[in-house]
Amino acid sequence: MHGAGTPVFEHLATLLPLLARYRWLYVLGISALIVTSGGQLLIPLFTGRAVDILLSSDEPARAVLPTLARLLGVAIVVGVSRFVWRLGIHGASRRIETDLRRSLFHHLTVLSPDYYDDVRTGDLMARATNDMNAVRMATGMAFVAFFDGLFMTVAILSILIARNARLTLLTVLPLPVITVLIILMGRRVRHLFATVQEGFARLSEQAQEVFSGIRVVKSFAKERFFLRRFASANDHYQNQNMVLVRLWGLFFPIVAFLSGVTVVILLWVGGKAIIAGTLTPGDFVATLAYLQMLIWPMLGAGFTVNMLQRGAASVERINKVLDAQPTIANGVEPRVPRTTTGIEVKNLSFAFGEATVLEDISFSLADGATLGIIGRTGSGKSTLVGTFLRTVDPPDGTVFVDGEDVRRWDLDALRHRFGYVPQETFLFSATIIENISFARPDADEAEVIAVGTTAGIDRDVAEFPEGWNTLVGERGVTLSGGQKQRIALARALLADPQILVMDDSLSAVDSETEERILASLRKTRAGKSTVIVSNRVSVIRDSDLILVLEGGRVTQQGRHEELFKRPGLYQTLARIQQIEATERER
Amino acid sequence: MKRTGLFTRIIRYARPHAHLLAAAAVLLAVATISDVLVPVVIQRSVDREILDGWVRLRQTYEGELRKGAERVRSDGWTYFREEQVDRLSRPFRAERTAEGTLDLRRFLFVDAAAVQGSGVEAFGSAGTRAIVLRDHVEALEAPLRSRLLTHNVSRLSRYVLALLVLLAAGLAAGFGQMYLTALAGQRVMKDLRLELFSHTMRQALRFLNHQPVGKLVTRVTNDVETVNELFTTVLADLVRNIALMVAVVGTLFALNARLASFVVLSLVPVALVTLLFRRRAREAFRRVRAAVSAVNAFLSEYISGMAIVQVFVQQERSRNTFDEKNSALLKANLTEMYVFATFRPITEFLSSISIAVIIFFGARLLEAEAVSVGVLIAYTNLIRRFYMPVMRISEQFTVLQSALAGGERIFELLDTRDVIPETGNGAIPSPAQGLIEFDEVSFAYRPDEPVIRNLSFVAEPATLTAIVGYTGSGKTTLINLLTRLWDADDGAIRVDGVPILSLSRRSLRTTVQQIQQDVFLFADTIRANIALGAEVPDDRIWDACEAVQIAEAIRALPDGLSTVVHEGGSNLSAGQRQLISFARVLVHDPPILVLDEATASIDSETERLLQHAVQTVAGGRTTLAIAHRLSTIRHADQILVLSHGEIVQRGTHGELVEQDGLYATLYRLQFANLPRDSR
Repeated sequence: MHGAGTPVFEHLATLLPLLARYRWLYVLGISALIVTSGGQLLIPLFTGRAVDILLSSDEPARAVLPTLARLLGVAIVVGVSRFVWRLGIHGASRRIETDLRRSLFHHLTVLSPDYYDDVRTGDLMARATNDMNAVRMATGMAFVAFFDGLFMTVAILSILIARNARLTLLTVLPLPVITVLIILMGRRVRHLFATVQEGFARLSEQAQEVFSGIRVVKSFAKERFFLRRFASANDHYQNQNMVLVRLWGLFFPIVAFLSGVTVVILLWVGGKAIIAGTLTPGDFVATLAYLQMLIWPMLGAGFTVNMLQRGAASVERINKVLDAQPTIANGVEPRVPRTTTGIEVKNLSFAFGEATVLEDISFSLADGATLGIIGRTGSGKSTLVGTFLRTVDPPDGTVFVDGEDVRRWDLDALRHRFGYVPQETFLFSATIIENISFARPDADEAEVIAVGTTAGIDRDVAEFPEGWNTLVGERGVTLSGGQKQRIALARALLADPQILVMDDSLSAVDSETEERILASLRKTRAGKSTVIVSNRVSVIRDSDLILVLEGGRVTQQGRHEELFKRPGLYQTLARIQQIEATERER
Repeated sequence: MKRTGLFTRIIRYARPHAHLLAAAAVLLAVATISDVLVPVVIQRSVDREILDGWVRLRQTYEGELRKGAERVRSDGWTYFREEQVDRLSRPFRAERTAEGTLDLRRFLFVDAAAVQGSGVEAFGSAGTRAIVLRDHVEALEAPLRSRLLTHNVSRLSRYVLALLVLLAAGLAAGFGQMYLTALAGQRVMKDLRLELFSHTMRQALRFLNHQPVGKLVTRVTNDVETVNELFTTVLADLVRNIALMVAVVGTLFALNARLASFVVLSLVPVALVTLLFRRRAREAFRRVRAAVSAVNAFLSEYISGMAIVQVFVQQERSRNTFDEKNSALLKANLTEMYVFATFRPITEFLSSISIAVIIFFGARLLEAEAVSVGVLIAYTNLIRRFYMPVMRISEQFTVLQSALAGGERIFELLDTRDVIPETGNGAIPSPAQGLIEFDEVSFAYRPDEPVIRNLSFVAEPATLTAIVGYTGSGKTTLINLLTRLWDADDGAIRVDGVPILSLSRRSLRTTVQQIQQDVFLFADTIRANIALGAEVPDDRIWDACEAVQIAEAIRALPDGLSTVVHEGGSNLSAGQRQLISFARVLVHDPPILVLDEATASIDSETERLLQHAVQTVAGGRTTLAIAHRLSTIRHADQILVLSHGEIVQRGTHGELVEQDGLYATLYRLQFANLPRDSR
């Protein structure tokens, strides 16, 4: 929690460049705001004068006209300035919000994969939405409340004090209590509000889960249990809401009460003074009128503090993202080799923190050759291929692509040389065509269909009502794991990359289709390199070089024919499948 | 759906909480009355005590005074309050003043005892009080004045007390009203959410499968929240503002009907502006909502898929796309801002215009002696009070609109009824044997496209039946008919001789249980995922885990059975998740097991674990398996080969391999993918 004082302003200070960018909007807005406030003070003055004329004049209708004209004149000015301050200040804060969100996303595209391992999507989303709102309030409404409040307070207090200092000081006594109350309550309310949000999130999660797992719920006839569970979360949420209402519901009644108390003080102290002749009725009436006008600035002061505190906390959270540095970036003089010579790995060791993942790996793969990597889950296969395209950063001088250390490569050029099919398929909610042509949006349909056919998704697509233009994801058709993997393969194939990396990316494809895909890959990828990670011997059997990974070490490497003869993991894995094969023969 | 119908429908949910709302209405009335009374009390105390002043008229003319006006008679004069002078016509005032029968000097009633020796001249007396000229009193020193006016001071103290009581009442009633309205709103939301949740859960899978989960979740959560606005804004604020407006208009008419009609007429342009504003605000609001969700959808998708963006070097393009969406959002926001930034100043300006108009026409009426100055002053004050609620009401219409839209979506879901009907309440005679019979069963999802045709087979108790066939041959449908996710169009399906249509859904589902291809685990502990809410002692869970050989892996986890499964199950491997779902079935111990084997290949060792688990789980119960694994097929007591919804071959593995049919082809295709050298 932020106390008053430096940290709030330290965080907010980082917004200064943005504020400066829109300084003219602010100058315009704040000037218009002050004109509006001043004008608002004038209008009751004119009505008052009009009433005086009515009282004294014999021809009131004509006599009152000039005053009314002035009243309308001021009303027009106030109307225009009211419009202008909104344009200026709200316009500036909306633009700042937009700029900041833009910087946030741009920075996110630069951050390395390891950053995303530690941060949840929901968390980043909260920064791009809730925190942005808080910044907008701090750079918009907080300004309005502050300047408006300051102007009104100074104007009204100076009028009041000039008339009767003692009475003013006595009567405005309860007003700062409103400000303090808002600040204190704001803190508590924020805390309670966070709990309510949490309760809401829990409800959403439960609904999300039960609706996603509805098949399980139904097939085990567990509707009643999950209904009970939801009902209890529902009750809990209601109670949390009511705790918040108990506090928040007091707020406006208390403000009304306190502002009423100032009037009571005025009535008692001022009334006695008038009766005793020490106060003029005029002072009394004016004080009464202006006291009411002071309430909003007092509220505003409290809200300003809250908005600034909230805004500072949000700026801090946003800055945490903006200040994060990509761990994988171009070196001083990034290089782009012209020749293609394959992949070479020399004594590569790699650790995530304490845990060694890869240990002393060396091999070399000629350009155009196929590399198969096999090993148990957790043996380091994905990490190893990650170092090729630097989604995992290897140490200097260990991994070379086309003769150049990947760490000295221009990062974008390096990745352009690869086509990557990840283990966990990620598709965008877009059409199949758009997903496949992700890396080359300009590709024509024929090219897309060609790679789609190579990847073996064409038969599935033929059964979709919209064909290649079928929307995938939540708003479109639900694809099976195998279908997703094949679309991801087509996506990687479209750029016809020099090196294709398939990270166990046929795991959900049935055997028949897998066989077909491998066959067509062999045909279309002739002369280009392919790296295949799998735990199935059948997938990597035809590779020019097979690496057997065990606990981060290459325990065997060679061709299938050699490895199959030697005792070791490769032979074991192959034998297990051989047993199945002989079972089949029986 | 008609808006009015919608409104009454939402209100129907409030009926059970009518007592709360009634109490809230009473408190609202109290709070509003105290709100309205506070200025009245202040006005009274100022006029009557602080700026006390009486004038006098010869008793003969007393009839000219307003009926009920306070008056004190003394020495042939009638004393009345200064504020009543306005009620007398100008010519009357001029004539009577000239003739000396109206004395407009201000008099006060003071303590008779205190007058003695004060040097103030007494013009008469009324009871214990002397009548003196206010000017004389005002010329005195403060202490003496206060002594003379002790009555006023003590009456003032009563006003102050009354004011404090009013304020306290307002505080209590204001809070109470807010609390009760919120409570009613929260309860309505709670009921609505629960009803929506259970209603949605009851719908048939054929409906749910086609609904994005996110949409259903939004209905249950966010849309219900917007309906809450109806209670917090409409029932409290709107009602209060309308009440205030009506009260003010009533007062205006009571004061002067002609002026009041001017005020009401001045509402016409406000109404027009509001109407225009509402349309534009709605449009702007819709655009903002669309732009916000476009930006958010893009963000959440690209944050999750950032690895892909970077690997394919599409950062630049995604930044550009984002900038476009972000700018569109800014534009929508600014448009909305313009709409609101125009509306408020215009209505405020209109209120100033109507004040000016009222003053001008008031002045004309004043000349015609048709209105008093006092009434005019009251008018200028009241108009401000009249416009405040008018402006708030027009702004609240937007909230009302979005609340109604939320309600519309909710009721649309509640009106969807796609439920497998509860056709019977029978139970399977205990102990269940596990005999399954399909008797001439046919089924089509869409008319003319039969998926299952005249299909018959019997699965004997405690046997394993494997179902094989191409994708789309009807394997999954067959299972869905047995579990009644859909109902067969023709023929009968019997379990232990009882048609499943005459069983209660619950009884059927506890008898026949299914293990799905894509295992679904809840973000809860492993224990809860296995027990699914049933009271199961830990040792039974452990037994099940041992049986499917997942126990060791669970023990290795830091919290054992209490380990919470991560979102998406990232702390468990696919194989482990599958094994946990097997343990789940063992614990629930159904007589009939339906197994939809995963096509995904996992590493060979996990594969072996799974095969072992399947055998354990299938042991001793009737099992129907959509089979992809060699071992399952080899151990099957019968294999059904499905093609286009019909059984084209049936028999054991050995028998079928001998025949040169579909099975042999399928078998070659699906299981031939093995190392060449090992063939």
